[in-house]
Amino acid sequence: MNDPIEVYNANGVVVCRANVSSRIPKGAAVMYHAPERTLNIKKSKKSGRRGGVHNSLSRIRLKPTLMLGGYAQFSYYFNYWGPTGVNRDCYVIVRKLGG
Amino acid sequence: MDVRAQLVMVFHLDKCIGCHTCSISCKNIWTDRRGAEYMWWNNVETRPGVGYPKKWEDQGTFKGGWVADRGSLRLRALGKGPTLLNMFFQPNMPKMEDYYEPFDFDYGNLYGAGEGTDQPVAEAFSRISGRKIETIQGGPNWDDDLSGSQLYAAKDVNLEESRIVEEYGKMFMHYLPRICNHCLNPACVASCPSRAIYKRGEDGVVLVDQNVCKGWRFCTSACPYKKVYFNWDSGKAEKCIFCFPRTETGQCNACAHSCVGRIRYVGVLLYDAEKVEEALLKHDDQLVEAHRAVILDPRDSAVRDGARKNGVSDLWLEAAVKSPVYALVKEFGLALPLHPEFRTLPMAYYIPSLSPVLSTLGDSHELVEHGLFSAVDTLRAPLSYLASLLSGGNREVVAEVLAKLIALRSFMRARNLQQPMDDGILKKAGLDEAAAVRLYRLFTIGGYGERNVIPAQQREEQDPYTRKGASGFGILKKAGRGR
Repeated sequence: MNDPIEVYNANGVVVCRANVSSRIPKGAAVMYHAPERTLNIKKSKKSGRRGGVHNSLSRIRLKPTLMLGGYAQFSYYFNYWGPTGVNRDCYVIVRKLGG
Repeated sequence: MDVRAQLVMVFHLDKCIGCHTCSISCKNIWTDRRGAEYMWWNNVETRPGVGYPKKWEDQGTFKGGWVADRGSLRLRALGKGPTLLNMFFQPNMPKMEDYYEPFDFDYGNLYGAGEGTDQPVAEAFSRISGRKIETIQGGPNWDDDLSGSQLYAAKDVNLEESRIVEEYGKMFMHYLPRICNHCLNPACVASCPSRAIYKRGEDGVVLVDQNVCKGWRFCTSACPYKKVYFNWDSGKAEKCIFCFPRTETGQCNACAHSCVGRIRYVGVLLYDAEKVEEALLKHDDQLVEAHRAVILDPRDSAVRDGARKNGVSDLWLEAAVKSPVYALVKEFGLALPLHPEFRTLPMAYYIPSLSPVLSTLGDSHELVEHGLFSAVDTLRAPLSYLASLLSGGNREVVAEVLAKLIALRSFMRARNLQQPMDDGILKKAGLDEAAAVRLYRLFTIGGYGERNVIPAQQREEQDPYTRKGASGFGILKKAGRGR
């Protein structure tokens, strides 16, 4: 309960605290949209730095259709303008942040 | 008949969204001071869960409340012998690990940190010792929203089968907001060797006299709800005061006033103090009925005469008639006492939650076909759990209440969809159309003035000291040596 953890994949690393709950299916982890960055958060062992946020683990994968241009609803724009370009589900490794 | 007036709060658990606004408004007004950091006069618990302090309901550990023993009541942990032995040590009192170590964050570091490669962090420190806390281990509602946690939910003393918390998709949860119950038979009052705690005559609020309290801490041990806290700085006991400076002027309590879900109802109940002892000697599963029997009808002329004789003013009698609490607790029998088996006769009542919503059984025709009580059995929250929490283990009482709520929901659904209404459902649950309309109004669109009917104290007309002793504790014997 409330243990500091490090979550990482090829894209990046994020340090946060974790709880175990049976409200989440086995093998999955959920991170809310507003991760704590200021209060009682440690540095990452992987990077030696503060690590990123919930977006650090996922990346934007654009489909060619989003590059066609035209009206705004057809083209990608950062911050969800146009059709969504990002898929937030990704594989991660979760490790306890020891010591 | 010995008629007395009591201010009572009712909580509608289905409406509680667990936002903790009540706790915060209470904290800001009353306990935001040194020594009171860990006190939550109002707290909200996630259920199933251990609550605050952890496992407070487990009287095997904390030994609070009363026991009915050979036709009389006695405090579970106290008698002449243990009282003397425990004068300087309270073995059953919750410790700091049962509450939590109050903490704060070093915000100064956020703008005062030296130059570095990374953004500075505010680290946690203890508000008692000042030492740095690496990992915060507890808080007032540590199992918040994680009621599936094996660490907390599985340890809920009301759960018969703790395995339920491990099954994804079968789990249930609701919130349980708690204040001091301002009981009719308060264990804290009875246990105090200094007689510092008293039940106020005019509105039944239980208070600690800060000038008289010697810090023996018997009240903290004796209260089965663990709602008396010990201030480590002043060395005195403190507890919820039902916001009496607000209610005396007719304003609503801070917790109820700020409630986002509007789950709280505050009003006057008239009760018969002579019936309190008899009610508390009943068997566990008869206690809800006994609770209801103690409460008197404010429209009854004999009751009104008795109340006037005891100094209850006309303003209060009028409020008792309009009381939403009377309607919910006695008239419609929807609100149940929290752990009546502790035998303190708590004066905070709870309407059990019906969620998750019955989607398939919402249709009135199906309800008629399958029957109301079989619908109750399909609810995800086990009946035994709610019964352990709210009725001393009596499942039928809880099933009756849930059946009323299902009937009300089904009736309103049919009405709103302009479907044919079946009166049979309401009748089977013990309600009628007028009752359903009134309850619907109270539960949904009822405004501040309907949910909270609080008469002012009228201090300008009557000196409260003239009424001191005219009402007060139910069964406490007259004070005196050897009695």
